[in-house]
Amino acid sequence: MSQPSVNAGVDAKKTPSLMSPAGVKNWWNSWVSPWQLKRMGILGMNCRNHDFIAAYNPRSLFPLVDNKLKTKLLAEEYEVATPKLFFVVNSQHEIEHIEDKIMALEAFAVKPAKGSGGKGILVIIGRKGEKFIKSSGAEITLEDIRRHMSNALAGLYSLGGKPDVVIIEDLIQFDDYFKDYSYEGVPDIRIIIFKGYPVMAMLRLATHKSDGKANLHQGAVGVGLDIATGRALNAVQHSKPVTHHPDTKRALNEIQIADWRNWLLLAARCYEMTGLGYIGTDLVLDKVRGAQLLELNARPGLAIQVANGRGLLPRLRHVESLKERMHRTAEQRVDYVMKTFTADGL
Amino acid sequence: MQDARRHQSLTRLVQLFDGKEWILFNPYTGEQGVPANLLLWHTGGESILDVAGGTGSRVSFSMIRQTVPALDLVGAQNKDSLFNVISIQRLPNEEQSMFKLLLLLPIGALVVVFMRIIIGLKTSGTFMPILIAMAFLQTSLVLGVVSFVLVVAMGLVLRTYLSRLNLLLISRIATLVVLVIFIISALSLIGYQMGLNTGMTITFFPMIIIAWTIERMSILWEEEGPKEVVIQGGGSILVAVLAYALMKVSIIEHLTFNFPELNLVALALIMLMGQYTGYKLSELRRFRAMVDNNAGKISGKIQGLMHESAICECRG
Repeated sequence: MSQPSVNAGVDAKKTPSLMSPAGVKNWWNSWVSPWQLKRMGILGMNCRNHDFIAAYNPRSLFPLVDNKLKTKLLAEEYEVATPKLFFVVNSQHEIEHIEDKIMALEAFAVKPAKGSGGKGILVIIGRKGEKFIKSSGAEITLEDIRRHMSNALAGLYSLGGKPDVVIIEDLIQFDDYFKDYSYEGVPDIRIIIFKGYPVMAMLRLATHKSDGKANLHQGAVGVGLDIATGRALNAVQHSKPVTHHPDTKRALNEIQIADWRNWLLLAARCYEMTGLGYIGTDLVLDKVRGAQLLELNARPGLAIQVANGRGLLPRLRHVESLKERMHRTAEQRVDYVMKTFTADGL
Repeated sequence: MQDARRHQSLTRLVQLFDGKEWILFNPYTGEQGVPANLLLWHTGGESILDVAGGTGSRVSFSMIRQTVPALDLVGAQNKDSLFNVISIQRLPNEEQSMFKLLLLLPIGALVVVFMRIIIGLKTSGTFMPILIAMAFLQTSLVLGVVSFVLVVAMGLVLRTYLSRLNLLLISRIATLVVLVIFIISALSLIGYQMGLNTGMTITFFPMIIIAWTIERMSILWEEEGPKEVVIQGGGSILVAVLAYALMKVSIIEHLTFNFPELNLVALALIMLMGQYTGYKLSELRRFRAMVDNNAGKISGKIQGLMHESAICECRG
């Protein structure tokens, strides 16, 4: 995310060299004083790690979110909507016997349980005779899927290369609402939940540049969403403001998430589910089943602030100042934030 | 006496007693007094060497100048003190030099903590740069940097081939370790043949760590592209060079070795930085765009307001 940010109005190609006085001035202007960041309430990496992650996320609960299988089983237990789990592959020798199970499925997603940042996810959208069709349109064989699973089990995609398990789950049927807003990829909604209160939200739209991925630093568009209404506030790509999707050319300020309260509710309930105080929830919209929890993140990034054009700190400190047990249920907390965290308010 | 002289013979001097004290004379030149650099070997008339049944005997002296650290003198004076008994200086020379390196590690750790928490530099692997810096201490800096880049680059090329073989992770890393050993051996042999004696010292590189670095960088390349590899690789080398530069300062080397307790200061600084929750230097750039975007929004709002007020005025 350390994209060199070129000043508004200065043509990047004509940037004077650092040797000239104008160049030095230009370089100097690409920095911002820490006091200004503080005034805007921007949460920095050190502060996030120290004051929020270390303080509110007990280490013992991390496996619940770092392991997608555990998250999924927990979500099913707490009746939080999540894509259906078909089956799990625990060891290399089980790969030999997946044929029957795989052949019974039409569309599915193969995920390493401990993969992070979307690593190692294989999405099969359909079948063509003996072949499987990937989301990119490429056709692969059962043998390719087996090899992918073997790599994932060996820990190719997990943090630190630790041995992993593979989960095979139902594919999300993407709702048509986002069809014109996302290019070749999966749009998802990231909501930061602090002590059970949704504090900030953004919609992440894949672009051609981001290669169908919804990661902001790879070039996806981040659209800040109003916590009160679910309407688009502000949109950025590579930290720079955009008004239209670069590929589909749809105006981004028209976006209004339907049934917004339900989304917040789904995210807020992840607090009771995990016990973690500061988490990022990644939600997607299924055509039939509505909002679904895709995964949780115990170390959510800071880019959501750029997408929203505002800092997280004022809201986080506000939630900290609330009395414990002031709002007992997720419904009460969601109603509270929808009143409090408005676009013009806190 | 002079330094590093061999085959020196003794000089005869004459001593006179004037009733109060002994006065020395050089019988050849008549000079009076004690010459500079004099070591009195022997007084009296007895022979220096008695030989029975041998021929061609000769007595000669060699000299060498050797400085004894003040610490040794102190040690010699306080032989029974507990601190002296368990001091590093009591160890054999070989172990002492190992300790010298070991006691420099906290400085490297301090540099890494500073660069990551305060500056916000990205490195590949948290403490890999320190180990590289230690290796630079054994080689020279330029040679160290060049050979490190060379080893990692060659490793990355070989790794792209390995990724096609679909090996399991453990055996892939092990393969890399073997390949890195080959690369380093080949480089040092070539360096030796080219007359670079120092080429041999690149065997000090921590090979297992380098194998892991190659593996991580190659995954980074596949996932984030070559730009991120250059950023993180460059960051690692920068941190390594900085750590090297600090460890190379002779006063730091002297202080950490002779006063190991000073490493507690480094420890305190590291722990102090662990409490820092302010912005990293890199974030002052990262969030610049946000400030600009917001400034644009506010001026837009003001323009909008002015527009509205103009309409109001028209109505008025």
